[in-house]
Formats: sequence, structure tokens, C-alpha cells
Amino acid sequence: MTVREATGVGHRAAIVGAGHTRFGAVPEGPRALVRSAVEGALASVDRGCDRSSVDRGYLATLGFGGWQIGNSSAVLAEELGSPGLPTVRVENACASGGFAVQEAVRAVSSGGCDLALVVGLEKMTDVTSARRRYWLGVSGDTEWERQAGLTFAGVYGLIASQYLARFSVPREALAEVAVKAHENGALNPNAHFQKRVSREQVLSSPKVADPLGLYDCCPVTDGAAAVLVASTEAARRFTDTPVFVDGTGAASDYLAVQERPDLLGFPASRRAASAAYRAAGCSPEELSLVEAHDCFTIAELLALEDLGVAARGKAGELTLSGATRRDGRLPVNPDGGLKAKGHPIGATGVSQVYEIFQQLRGAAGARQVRVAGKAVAHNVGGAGATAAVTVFSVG
Amino acid sequence: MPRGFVRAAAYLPRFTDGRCRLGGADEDAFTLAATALERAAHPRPQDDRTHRVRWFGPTPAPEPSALAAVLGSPVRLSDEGREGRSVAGSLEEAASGRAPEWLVAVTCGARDLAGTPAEPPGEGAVALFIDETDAARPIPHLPEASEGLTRTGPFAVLWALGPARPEPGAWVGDWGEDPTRGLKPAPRASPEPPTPPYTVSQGAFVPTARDEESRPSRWRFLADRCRGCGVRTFPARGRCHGCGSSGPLAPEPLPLEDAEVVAVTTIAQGGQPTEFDPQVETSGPYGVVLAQLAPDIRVTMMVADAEPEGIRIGSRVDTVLRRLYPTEGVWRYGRKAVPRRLSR
Repeated sequence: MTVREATGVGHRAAIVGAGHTRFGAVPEGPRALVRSAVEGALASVDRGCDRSSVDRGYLATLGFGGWQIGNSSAVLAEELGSPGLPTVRVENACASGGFAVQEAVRAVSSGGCDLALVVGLEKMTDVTSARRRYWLGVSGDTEWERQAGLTFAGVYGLIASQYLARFSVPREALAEVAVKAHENGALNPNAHFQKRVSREQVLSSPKVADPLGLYDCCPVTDGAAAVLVASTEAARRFTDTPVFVDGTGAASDYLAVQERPDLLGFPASRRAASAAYRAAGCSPEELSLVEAHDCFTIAELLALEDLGVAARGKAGELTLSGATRRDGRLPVNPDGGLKAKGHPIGATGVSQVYEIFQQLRGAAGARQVRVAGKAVAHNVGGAGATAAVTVFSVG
Repeated sequence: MPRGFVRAAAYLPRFTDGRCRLGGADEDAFTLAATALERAAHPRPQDDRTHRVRWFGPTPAPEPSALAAVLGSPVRLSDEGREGRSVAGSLEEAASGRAPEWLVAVTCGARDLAGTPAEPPGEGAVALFIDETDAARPIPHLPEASEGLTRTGPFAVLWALGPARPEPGAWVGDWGEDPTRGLKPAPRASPEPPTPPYTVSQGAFVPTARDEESRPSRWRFLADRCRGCGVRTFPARGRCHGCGSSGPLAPEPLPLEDAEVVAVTTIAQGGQPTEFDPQVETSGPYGVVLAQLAPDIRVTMMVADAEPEGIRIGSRVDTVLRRLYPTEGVWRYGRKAVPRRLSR
């Protein structure tokens, strides 16, 4: 059976504000992180935005902080200072944030509300390593993959082994993804890792899931990010330079990779991307910025191919050519990506939109790239079981 | 002389580094018996007749449902060893009966055979399939064999029957010379299930009821064949991947041997799910493969009985039922990949 075709939404909404905490192993708990991201988002609105303007709240999180597993979206209303606000938690593992943004886009574009607040959160360093690995391992296929001894590092290790062999891609191409990510992270004051690494350091890092080493993997990170999503009509009340949502696309796939024909890409990503492009009326050639889901270095190569910006098997070449660096033809993850900025599970998809909001408005500071077109956020749940792709522009 | 035919297979300890490996930490009486049964059953297709299984061995017989999942057919079980019956007596009786029967003899650990110096130390299992439907073939040398069958160890059964070597085709087995002769047993690692506190994941674990439900797929690699579109879906979950319909679907066993590795990784310390922490602490990194069982079927499996570096893309592997980890005090089992040459 072909997996059901994804459908694009086609309606436009706009991002009018965005906030971001420092990503890393930070002392703040989940409530403080949510509060800080929300306050940052409200304060970023050009013409000001009161918390009472928010009609609806979405909290994207997998494990909160390891404790408030149920009903955690009520905390979002509390920390906004608006108890009583209708809120909902969105959970699609690592793609929670991307899906939450899309839910907010749907809500405002349907006329159901004018302004939605989306907060992505994960507090990962409060809990013991064993408990954390429990959390990290619940989003893959628990019946088969996990019983075979796999967590996501292992699944992406399998993927990398097949990808490198099939396309004769050198291990250096993976390392280059990490080198570029750390270079960008070094310019991002919110990034978990703000230190460059050399290709040799990446290649010689201890193996976690062969061929992936420690430096091929995203770190364990705390953090939160928030965006304010307004209807196109309401957006002008808040700013003259909103960042428009041109199109959204989403899809799912078999949870277990053993049920897919190959590991050389994620069909869910491809379907989500093609739906988003269709809704936005654009092609991959029109992109000038990519926020790609690079939880492992191999994931960025898959992302570039699934998004249609590199031919199948050619993303390694593209990366080694320098085209995806900040000054390259198509900058990818100028914020450092999941790899260097960090990957607080639920926060990631929202953080990607934060970065696009800053970059498209020319407010990204030292890491600003030249943008002359559309930007895309690509957020993957687990190893491709869910994917959300959203296209943005300044109109 | 009783007439009928016997098909037999033994599963014996394997060698690593020239030593006899008396079962790994992931083997127990049940996996030894399951492996012998699978081999004796091969290439007999799945059979929905009820089979009588007579169990001998120092450990109590497993649940009939567990053996039924291994055999892919309903099972009536008697724990003959517990009831004080000898293999020989039971074999004679089985061979004179009408219904097809399995006899399983299992031993676990050298100490079980310590009192019989004629037999080497070892552990393993023998499975015999006795079927009267082929009445032309006598059970070979049964009277002579009986003398050696007074003990319950599998090697006694094996040697009693083995040297007879009847005409080709009557036997499907893979033993030859006793591989354990003259070798010292290697120390057995961690034979007991770890005791709590044990970090079994809440939520990520598979509940016992669901584990039992998925045994035909997990233990026997049973797929669903769609009668509508003909596509085969694995694991069998009652939904066709080809046309999306929920049936009718027919169970179809997949090959258990000779799969091709299409992706491979080695999980090092820190990369494993928490339930495999004790294994990594005891045995170090392990391999995991995605193996192509058939052109349309792939499965992810842990690698057993081999250093991870020995398995590459393109390697051929067989699959064996092994222990995975204990949950709520009960061992969970699943199939692991072993290098093809070792398991032959």
C-alpha cells in the first residue's frame, strides 16, 4: 500500500513574534524555560503584544521534564499568566514542535482564533541517564526495533551504514555536517555547543552506533522556544514585517524501519515536502534557507535529498562542496542545527521557526545569512515515522 | 520392532576461540529446545495438527503455548522427566502410537551429566519427531538404542540413535562427531535473570499480554498473506501493507535461515536501551542488523555468537530464538542473527 498522500493546507498565517531560551544543560526547570520563551516571544512583537491577545496555546513536548507527563499544556497557560486559556499538548516525538506550529497555523487560518502561542519544550538533564535513555527510546518502534537493542542512535547507525555503502559516500561527508554545524553554533549565543570542531575530531570521536560517533549525534539539551502565530489579517496589528507561512505539509510512515523498503531516505519527509511546496506554490529551487532536522549527521544528508535540494545520493557531495555553509549557495542550519545548537525534543521544531523568523527579518546578528526567497523548516519525528515541513517567506 | 519414522536434530554448544561455549548468557533450556525443534521440523511446513510433546530434562517443561508458538501447531505437553519416565520407555510408546509426536530432551549445564562419565560434559537439546504415517521405515536400532536411553541427557539420545544412520532422507539432522569431546566447558556468564532493582523502562516495555500475542511473528517469523492482493506483511498484525485491508489474511511462515544483511551497526556503551544495560556491562558492545529474510521482508535483530565486526552488509545470517531481557521477572525471547557458517 502506498502511504496516504499528504495534503497541504494552503492557507497562510504569519509569525509575528518569537522567543528562545539558551539551549544547553541549564539550571532552569521546565516551568522557568516555558516562562522565559513566552516572555521573549511577547517582547519581540514590534508593536507590542499583551498576553491577553493570545487566544489559544500549544505546548510541544515529549517528556516535559520527566514528571508532568499528562495535562502539561495547562502549565503553558499558567506560565503565560493566563490560566483559563484553551491549551493543548502536541506530541509527535522530535517533530512535536513542527506539528504544533502547523496546528496553530490551522487554527488561525480557519478563523477559529487570531493569535496562537506555540511553545516547544524539553528539560532533559534533570533526570538520570537511565531515565533519559528511557525517554529517548520510547519514540521508535518499541515492539521490534527496541527489542533488537536499538535506540535512535542505533536506527540512524543502520541507516548510515546502508546509505554510505549504497552511494559510496565517504565518512568525511558526515563529519563535514558536524563541522559546519559547530561553526554555525559558535556564532549562536543560544547554542548548546559554541565551539568549533575539526573533521579529525569528528572522525576520531568514540563510536556510539557505528558508523556514527559521538560527534555525529546531537547532544542532550534543555531548552524552550516560542512563536506567536497570527492570522494574516491580525498580523498587521502586531508588525509591518511578519514572516508568512506559505505552505505546510505533513505525513507519517510505518513506525518501524523494517517495514519500509529501504533506509535511503524518509518517504514521510518527501511527502511532507512535496505537499508544503504545492501549498506554497514553489519549488525547492526557490529556497534560500533550510532548517533541516539533523539529529544525527546522516539525517542532514537524508533531509537535503528528501527536501529535493540535492539529488538522491548527492547530499554528501553538496555538503563537501561548501554549498550548505552560511556563505554557500543554500545555507542549511545557520543556527547550528540540532547537532550544535542542541535538540530539546519538543522545542526543536519551534526553534527552527524562531531561526527562520530572525533570518528572514535580517535580525540573526553574527550568523545572518543572505536570504532572497523562501525558507523551509523540516522537522522529523524519530526515524521518519512522522514529518512536518513548512515553507515561509516575507511575502 | 516399532515402525514409523524419526526425524531428529540436535542443537549443541558451539565453538568460539577453539573452546566449547556452553551456551551464552542468552540461552536457556527453552531456547535450546526451541532450536532443536526448529531444526528437526525443517523443512516440514507449519502443521495445524495437535502434536504431543514429551519433555525430558532437568528444568521443568515450558508452557505448552510457548512450544506451540515455536512449532506453529497446537501442542499437548507432558513433562515425562518430572514423572520419572525414561526416554527409552517413552520413545517405545510413542513409536507404537498413532499420533505424530515430538520428544524433546534437554540438558542444561555439565553438572547434569556429571554422574555419567561415559558422556562428556555439555549442554544442548535433541528433538525427535516420530510419525507413523511412513510405516515402511522402522525406527532404527531402537532396541539397541534403548539401552543408551535410560538417562535423560540429549547426548545419550543422540548417540543411541545417531550411529544408526539409516537410509538418506529418513533423517534430517546436523550433528556429526560430538563437538564437545575432550573440551573443557567455558564458564557460563550470568545464567540467572538479573534481580531488581532493574531498569526496565516503564512504557517502552511490551506488556506480557502483547508479547504473547506477537509470539507467532516474534518467535516463528509468521507473516500475514493477504488473500485479496497477495502481498505478504510482516510482522503479522492483521492489516495488509499491500492493500490496507484487514483481511482475510492467512498466516505464512517465513524462512528462519540464510538472510542477507542490508544494514548493520554496532551499539557501544550508552547507545543501548536501558533493558540491555546488564548485557552491555557483561558482554560489551553488540551488533544489530537489518536483514532481508525474503525479497519482500526485512527484520531488525541483535547479533549473537559473533563479534560485531564480523558482520557486514552482504553477510549471510541465520536466526535463532534467544533470551532478550527479563521484564517483570519473566524472560522475553526473540530471534537474533547468527553468522550462517556457525549455525550449520
